[in-house]
Amino acid sequence: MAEADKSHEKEAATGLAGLAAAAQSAGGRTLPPVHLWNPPHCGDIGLRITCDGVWHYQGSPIGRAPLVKLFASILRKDPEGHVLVTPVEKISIEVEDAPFLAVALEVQNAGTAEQTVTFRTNLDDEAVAGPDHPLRFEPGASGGLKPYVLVRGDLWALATRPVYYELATLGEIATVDGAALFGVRSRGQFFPMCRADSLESSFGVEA
Amino acid sequence: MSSLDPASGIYSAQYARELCMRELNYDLPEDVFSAPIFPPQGDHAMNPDLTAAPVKAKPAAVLVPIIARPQGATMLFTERSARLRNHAGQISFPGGRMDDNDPTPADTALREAHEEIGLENAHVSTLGYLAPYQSGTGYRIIPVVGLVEPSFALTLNPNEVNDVFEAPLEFLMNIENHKRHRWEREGVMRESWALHFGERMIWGVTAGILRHFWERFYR
Repeated sequence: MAEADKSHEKEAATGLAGLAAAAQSAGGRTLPPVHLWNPPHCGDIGLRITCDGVWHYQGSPIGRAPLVKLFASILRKDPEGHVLVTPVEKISIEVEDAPFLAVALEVQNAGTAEQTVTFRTNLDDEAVAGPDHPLRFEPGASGGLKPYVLVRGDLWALATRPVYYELATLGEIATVDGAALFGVRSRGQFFPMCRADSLESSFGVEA
Repeated sequence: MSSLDPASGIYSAQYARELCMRELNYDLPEDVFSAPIFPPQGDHAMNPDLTAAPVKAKPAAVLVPIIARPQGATMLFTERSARLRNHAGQISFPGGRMDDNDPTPADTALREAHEEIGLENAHVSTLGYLAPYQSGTGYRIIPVVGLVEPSFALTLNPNEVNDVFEAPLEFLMNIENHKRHRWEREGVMRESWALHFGERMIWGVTAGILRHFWERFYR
């Protein structure tokens, strides 16, 4: 590694405490406008969010929820990957799947055209599915689907399995461009999950 | 090390940056633009009769640009075009009225800075908001402090800006340079802070925001 790179690493290696202090001073109660910041990239200090939504520092889970929430307030998705960003530094964070987990959902006006589905994440963020918080579905293991909801910026939450099944019970079949699709409606928007005739293989159950 | 060391003293960009990062945040009251009361900061502070008029709050934001010059931080100002309807010809910070599409006042300030003087967002890191400032013309202005890397290039929009210039933080934050400026408007004496920088006079809203910055960080 070149000397210049090392000095950057050293700068970033003030460790978790330094980063937490920077995150603290970067914001207040309101989430800081991380989308406006363009600091130099200061490398990687061994931060990772595993697919179960747990944050790790150099291989060990970060147990303190307030610290994780603080870091989440300065999390951003760049074209090169996820970063923690302050006005003065930017540090890579490896995200195995999605940075957040959707661990609960609440439905209002179920089964009507006004149906609204609200997700809550493992870090207590809320996202009301709709134009501002779209859902997307990706193929999962063994033919199933992985549902994601946009929390903010380009940061998504992966729905846990129980939330996924609950979401599926709220689904309906709609015709889009002549095709019968199974999906979920929220805030007036229909989010297709799969073709209606592939329900069985997508959910492993009789529709 | 001297407190006047250009690289690390109290007028250095690094010092201003650390101060602002520690002291400022992005918290604004939810009713910041709808509250029917005058905020503490504003033209009315020196002209109390202004509060007799019904309060108007047109949402606006300005960028308070701190340029990280190695020989000491400066702030960047614009000289507004004589063609503008409001505050024509005055010295100002880049900024303007909030659009419905601006998610935050920080977005407004950077968008306006880009439109007026071609300052690219990539050169700016916002550090937080100063207190809202109510102008006598009915704008409720959120000053957004931004640290600007000095490698920028500017392209002025002649419809909005005649000229730009930088003034050293050391000059701006020296209380001896803060004078009172009085003038008559529609038969009423008006007063604001004023800083005479060479041939230019910074007064009105911009001087009011500078004075608040001084009270907050350099008093």
